[in-house]
Amino acid sequence: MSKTVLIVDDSMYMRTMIKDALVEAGYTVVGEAANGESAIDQAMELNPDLITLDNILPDMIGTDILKVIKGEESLSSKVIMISAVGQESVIQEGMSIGAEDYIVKPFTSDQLVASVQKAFA
Amino acid sequence: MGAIKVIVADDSGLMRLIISDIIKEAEGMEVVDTAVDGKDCVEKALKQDVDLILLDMTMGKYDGLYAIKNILKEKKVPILILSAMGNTNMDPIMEALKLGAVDYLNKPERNNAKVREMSVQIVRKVRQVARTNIANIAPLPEVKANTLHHTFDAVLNYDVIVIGASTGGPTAVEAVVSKLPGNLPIPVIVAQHMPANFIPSYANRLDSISPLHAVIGRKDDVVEAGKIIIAAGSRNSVLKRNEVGKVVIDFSKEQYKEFNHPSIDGLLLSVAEVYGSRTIAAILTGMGKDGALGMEAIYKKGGYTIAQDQATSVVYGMPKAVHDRGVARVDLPIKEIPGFMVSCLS
Repeated sequence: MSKTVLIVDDSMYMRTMIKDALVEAGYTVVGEAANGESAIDQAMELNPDLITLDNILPDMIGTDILKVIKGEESLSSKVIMISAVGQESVIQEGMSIGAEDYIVKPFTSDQLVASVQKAFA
Repeated sequence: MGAIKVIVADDSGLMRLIISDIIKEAEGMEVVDTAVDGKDCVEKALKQDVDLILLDMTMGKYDGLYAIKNILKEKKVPILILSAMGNTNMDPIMEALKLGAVDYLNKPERNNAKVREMSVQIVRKVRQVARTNIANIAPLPEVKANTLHHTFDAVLNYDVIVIGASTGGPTAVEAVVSKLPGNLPIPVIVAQHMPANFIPSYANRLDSISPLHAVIGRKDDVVEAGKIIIAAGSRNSVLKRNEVGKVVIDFSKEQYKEFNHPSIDGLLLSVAEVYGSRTIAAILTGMGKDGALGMEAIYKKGGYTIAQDQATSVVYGMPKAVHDRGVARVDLPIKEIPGFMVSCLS
């Protein structure tokens, strides 16, 4: 069965770009969230195999969402952080909390898919 | 290398003669057959070895579009459109390019004899088109305008997107601008090598497939978000700051080495001056080297430079020149370029 993914990004454009790339690579996108609250709700409900998590959301910072997800025992989701350039400290923090990997914008579909494949390897 | 084997398709007997003469007189090419309409052309193209088809668009019941569709279904061969149609209506030409024709030349209207005066142009174009990357000859998927908005960061790292393209460019540019979001907070400037009289209908076409507003850049037009500014085809367009500090279009009398009207180098060099590191620049498919010099200037200023990759370039000339100079920060397939540009802005 193909792996399930939840996409968290406040931009519908980016969610669609990420979704298209992952679907083409054979993953099943089970949910999309545009803010932190919805991200946590959907993660709890869907327990996806992987979450792509944009770091800047209107209501929360990605690393705070990551803490919640990693602190929830019922969740086994792997997380890939997506961040803008110049946020190296955030990346360090994300990795130390337990993110599988991070991608820095701008990125290509190939980079994203490679990162997801690595997370499941 | 053997001579370029050409089929000349035109419903006018006089035209077939004139064009065949031009090809026969040129070095390194020969006419292997002529065709009187699209159907005839398909039959002749499929039954023999041919390197290039020189194709008229208006040919009675079976027109040029019919020929392109039915030939490319069966075999990959570069097709060069030679038609008077583009003088009045660019849409059929764009349709032909979308179906997989490589390039086009404008035929003088209602004056067949004048075609003789185009012999140098025709011969040069035949040579160029015959060198097409055959693997990339294929119909483009239907272009659907992007309707998704992007949530842009309040503070952006870039202030302008500039795109340069030549052979194969009209459809490549379409593939990029049609996927940019309608709320893009920075302007887009496009320099596409193209006969001047094609530019207005090209601008109309881009306008119709993009949520942004495509216009031809006139002198003193303000470069601002919401617009796709197409460089005029009769001059070299550059950018400058006016007395109140706004970035505007200007026309330069300077002539550039690689290509003029529009010169991509000329435009990009001015973009490097005006916008510097706050530039996203892309060079798409095209013959020659125009744009490489300008990309180097933008790269050195710290702007983001993108070259279309070899695999998706109809002609890997201009992007290769950028790549070989070492001034492309990334080489991307065409379908990745719009999303990549948008992700630069968040």
